[in-house]
Amino acid sequence: MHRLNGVGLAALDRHTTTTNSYTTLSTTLSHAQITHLHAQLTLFRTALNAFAAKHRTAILNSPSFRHKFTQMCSSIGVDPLAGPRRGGWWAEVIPWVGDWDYELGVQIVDVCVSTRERNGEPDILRSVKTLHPLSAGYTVLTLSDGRKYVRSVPKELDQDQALILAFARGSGRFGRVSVGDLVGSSSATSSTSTSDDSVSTTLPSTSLVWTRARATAALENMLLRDGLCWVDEQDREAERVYWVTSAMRWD
Amino acid sequence: MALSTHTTTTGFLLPSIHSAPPFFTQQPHPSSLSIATEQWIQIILKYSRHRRLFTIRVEDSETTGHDWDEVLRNERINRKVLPSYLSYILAQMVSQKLAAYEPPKQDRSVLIYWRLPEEWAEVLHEWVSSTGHLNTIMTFYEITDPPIESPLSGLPIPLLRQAITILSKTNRAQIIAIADGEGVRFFPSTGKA
Repeated sequence: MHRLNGVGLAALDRHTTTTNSYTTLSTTLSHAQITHLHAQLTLFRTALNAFAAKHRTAILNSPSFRHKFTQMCSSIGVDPLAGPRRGGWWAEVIPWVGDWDYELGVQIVDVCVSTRERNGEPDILRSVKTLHPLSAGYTVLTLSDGRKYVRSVPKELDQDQALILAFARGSGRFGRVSVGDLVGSSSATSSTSTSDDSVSTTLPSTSLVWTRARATAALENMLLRDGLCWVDEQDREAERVYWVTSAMRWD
Repeated sequence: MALSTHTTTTGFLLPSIHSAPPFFTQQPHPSSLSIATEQWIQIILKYSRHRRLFTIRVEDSETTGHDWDEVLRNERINRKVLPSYLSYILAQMVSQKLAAYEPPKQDRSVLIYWRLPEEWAEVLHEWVSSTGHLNTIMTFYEITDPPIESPLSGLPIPLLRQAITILSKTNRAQIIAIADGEGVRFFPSTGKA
């Protein structure tokens, strides 16, 4: 050891020299690595950008594809929400969806979708509450009978439809709703043609008195736009009777 | 009025959706329509298998007193499938290869494949082998109307023809011209098919 390092002051000098050259070497190496990493990152970014640009219609339109895409991003350690600007990475790649609220919503919705089978009510409530400030349309609504349901059709399930859902669940109704039922007056009392166990089904708490136009619009929207009910054109009492599928009872 | 299953007079178990009034109307929403139509197709296939029915016509929804009454109608709730919807259902069956328009070039009547032609081919060959008719010439009539009822009794000729065509591709059958029309000769499976 003594021989290798020398003796006396010369050893100190040599030590300093060695340390210095090691430092220089390590700096050079780090620089090279960083440059390399930068190059790789740029390449990867370009590839990801190209991918996102190529599939942007699919990313925008197909929730499952978007889910897969964000899954892929997270598996390779890219957070689509992170980025130099507030809009994040999405904003760079697809400027017209660079809405931060929207992106966060996408991720939370993805969580909800991917854990749909597993998460229980508390999780649902928590997730949906998190989404609430984003006004994305995900809300927990409580029906008049205390039942809770998640409104997952953003901006499509309006208050009128929520009332109809509750109304359709009314006792003896089993999902059957006609425009006449909602307009109220005489038709509300004689609204069940097929059920024997419910002669009169006037329900003070749930009977609605709407204009014909409002009732028709709400029911047709549920039928044609949202697929929340089925239509029956062979009912004797009304030309069109709507059956809210979620309120129908199956043995 | 919860929706429940129902057993018909011929012993067929109708699913509970068959007691839902809107089931008999063609739904305007695409996903509702496909759910309902899929259910109808299953009911039609199962019922035709149950009754050994081979044909369904659009007009079966308009008339009564025929084989399809208890399926196309529900007297308990006073509903029946409307012809336009039945026509749509049959078209879907044809496009899914679960039925074929018969006679061809019209769309009012279909031959139902409650067994696929490939499955009929196997049933046919098995029956021929087990009854000792291999290598002999048989008429179509001998196959579809045998003295002892067989799995092939009542098989419509177009379906029989398809089955024979399938068998002839693996050299297990051959159509032969005979005095009063056509006959068919069957051969044992070679194993290499």
